[in-house]
Amino acid sequence: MRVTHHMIVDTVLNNLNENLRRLEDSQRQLSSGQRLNQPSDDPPAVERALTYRAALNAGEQYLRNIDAARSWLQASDSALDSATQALQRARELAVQGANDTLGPDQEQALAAEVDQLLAQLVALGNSTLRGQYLFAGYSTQTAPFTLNAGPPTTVTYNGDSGAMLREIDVGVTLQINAPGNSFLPAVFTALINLRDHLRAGDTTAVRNDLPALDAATDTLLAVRADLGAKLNRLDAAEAQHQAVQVNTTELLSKIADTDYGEAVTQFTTAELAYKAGLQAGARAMQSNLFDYLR
Amino acid sequence: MTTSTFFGLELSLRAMQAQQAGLDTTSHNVANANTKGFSRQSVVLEPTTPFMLPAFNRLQQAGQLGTGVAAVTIERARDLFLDVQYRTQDGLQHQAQMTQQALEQIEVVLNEPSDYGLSAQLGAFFNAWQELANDPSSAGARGSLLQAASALTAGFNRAAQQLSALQTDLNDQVQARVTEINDLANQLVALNKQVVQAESVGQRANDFRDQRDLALDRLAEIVPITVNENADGSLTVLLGGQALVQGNTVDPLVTTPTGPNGAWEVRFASNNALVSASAGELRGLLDARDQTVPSYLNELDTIASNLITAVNGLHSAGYGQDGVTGRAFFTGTDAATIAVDPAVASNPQAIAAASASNAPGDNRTALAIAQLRQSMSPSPEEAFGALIARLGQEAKAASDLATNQGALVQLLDRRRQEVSGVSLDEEAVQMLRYQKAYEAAARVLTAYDQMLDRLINDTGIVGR
Repeated sequence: MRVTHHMIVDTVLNNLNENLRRLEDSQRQLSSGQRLNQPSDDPPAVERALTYRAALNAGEQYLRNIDAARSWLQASDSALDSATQALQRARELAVQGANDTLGPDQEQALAAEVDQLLAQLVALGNSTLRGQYLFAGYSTQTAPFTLNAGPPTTVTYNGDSGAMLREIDVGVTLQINAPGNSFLPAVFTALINLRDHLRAGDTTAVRNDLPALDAATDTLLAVRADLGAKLNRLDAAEAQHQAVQVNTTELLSKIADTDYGEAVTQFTTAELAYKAGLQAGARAMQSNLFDYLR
Repeated sequence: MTTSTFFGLELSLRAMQAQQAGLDTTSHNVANANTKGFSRQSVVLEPTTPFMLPAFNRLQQAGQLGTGVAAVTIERARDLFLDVQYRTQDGLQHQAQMTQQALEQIEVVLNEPSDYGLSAQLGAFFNAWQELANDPSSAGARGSLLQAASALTAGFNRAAQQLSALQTDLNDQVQARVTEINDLANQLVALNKQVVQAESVGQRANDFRDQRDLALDRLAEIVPITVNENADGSLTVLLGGQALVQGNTVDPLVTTPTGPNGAWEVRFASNNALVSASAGELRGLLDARDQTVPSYLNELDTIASNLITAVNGLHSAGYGQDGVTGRAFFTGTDAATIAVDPAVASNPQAIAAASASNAPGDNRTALAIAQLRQSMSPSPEEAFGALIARLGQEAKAASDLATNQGALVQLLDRRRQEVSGVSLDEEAVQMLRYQKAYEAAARVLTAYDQMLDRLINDTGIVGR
């Protein structure tokens, strides 16, 4: 084979170029920390990376949805907890009022306290979270319950029965609100009856109010149990999302992040090859026969 | 019988002239060691015709008397078969490069994987709907949604616009290549004339031929050509079976705006025939312009238009905070035209989160739109991911092909260099050889000179 100096120069240049490209590639991976910079770097890996990124992005959103749902459920539960306590106080008052030995003044005092409890329960029915009514269905901007003094005393519902759904996982929705019209009117009616019977001093009727009060308490507890179950579901969903996020982050990191051990090795090898190429090239290109002719 | 008195002087002169021609050629080679397309040249030395001595008796003479040397011709070292191989592969290499460059630019336009590409913007768009579903009466959530939506539409618009710009650029390049083809064809005609002129008087037009081969090398990078040499040394260059250059005439190429969307088509000027370029830069450019770029643009358009239809279908059935229904969220029909409806963009309350009027806590429409992220088949993100995967595969295949083809072209170029390249070592040896032979011939001349000196000045002087 005939070799010319031009061929040596070409070869040296081509190889230097290739070595420098490898050096640049591993240097870029090392400095950016990213293995994938464009789709052609590793097409299947880039496609998976996009899927993982989308999953992480959606997962973060589900975690935010869960947080928002939790605060609504907790606010509802805390309002209903107060309502349950108020109702229990009303039952105590009913038990006292059912006693035949009470005088009229005492009956009136009990009635006045029940009246206070009624107002308190209506206010609890109008509880808000960040300016939105919890028990109004979709009508979150309108106070759902209005107490009409009467007589006869009534409580009207201004809301609707809209179900507020939140997505907590792909296609999985959870109703976070309990529209007040499904359980609070029975509570209000029981209290209004109790107050009126106490005012009238009708101890028999007061005694007969106890089952209605118990039923109202049971209804409240059932609603709270439902809210509690949903909070548990949120906790479970959150834990699951967090685990998936960790796994997905790991998978993404494996395919998209620089493997530093490998990149450093590649860099060192490329650097060595580049320097060796420079040295050999410089010497091979330097001399020819003309140097030795005198 | 003997030779003439001055025969030796003439012989030495011819020898010195021949060696000088050799040295001149060596000098020419060294001078052109770095000239692109140069083939090393060598002098063909031949003994001149010997004397058939007219003799009374042949036997008195040992044999024919040599008369010295002459430089008969100067040849160039060239393997025309390698040229054909090289040009075929180099054309494919340049075609692959064009394809690769176009795909690389599409990769740059789409900018994936990154935190700012369309896939991230699609994710942010759907998340913004989730946030609105979490708090449908929040002005903040509405504002964020508008931000995310306009970032998304801007992303689509920018990608579509840059892909169109790439297409325009490729179209410009097609025209530039046609201009270059015509320039090269004219050069070939000029060189044809020079070769024919030089060779008609029996010389070898080595340097003109080198220049002509160089022009052919470049021409073959742009379009596949068949080259035939005519008897007079001129060339006929066929392009897709039709003569582009025939001896002294060129059939130039023209571009006509008759392709898709007024893109250039390349035709022969003489008969308006479409040029069929099966390889080379022109094929690469045409393929990228007419197939590669449009295919990605179409996919983007499909993703955008599916998104517009799906979002608008739900949004127009929903209710804004102002109780109004029947409003579109997006305007436009494709990636280039998608935009947030101005009526919505200027009035966040017009975003329909609810499925009923006057229901501030109703998030059903917002939730349904957010759920399009998974419920659409394929979802915009899946469709875009598939597009990116195809782009990656095509770009990688093109880059691999260009690399492999490049290695093959390099190999063939080395083989051409083996034959035609100037080796300085060789030339140094040649220089020595011609120099020494010249010196020796001069020395012989000196011997003749001394002989004649003796004859002329030192003989016949008796009685002086």
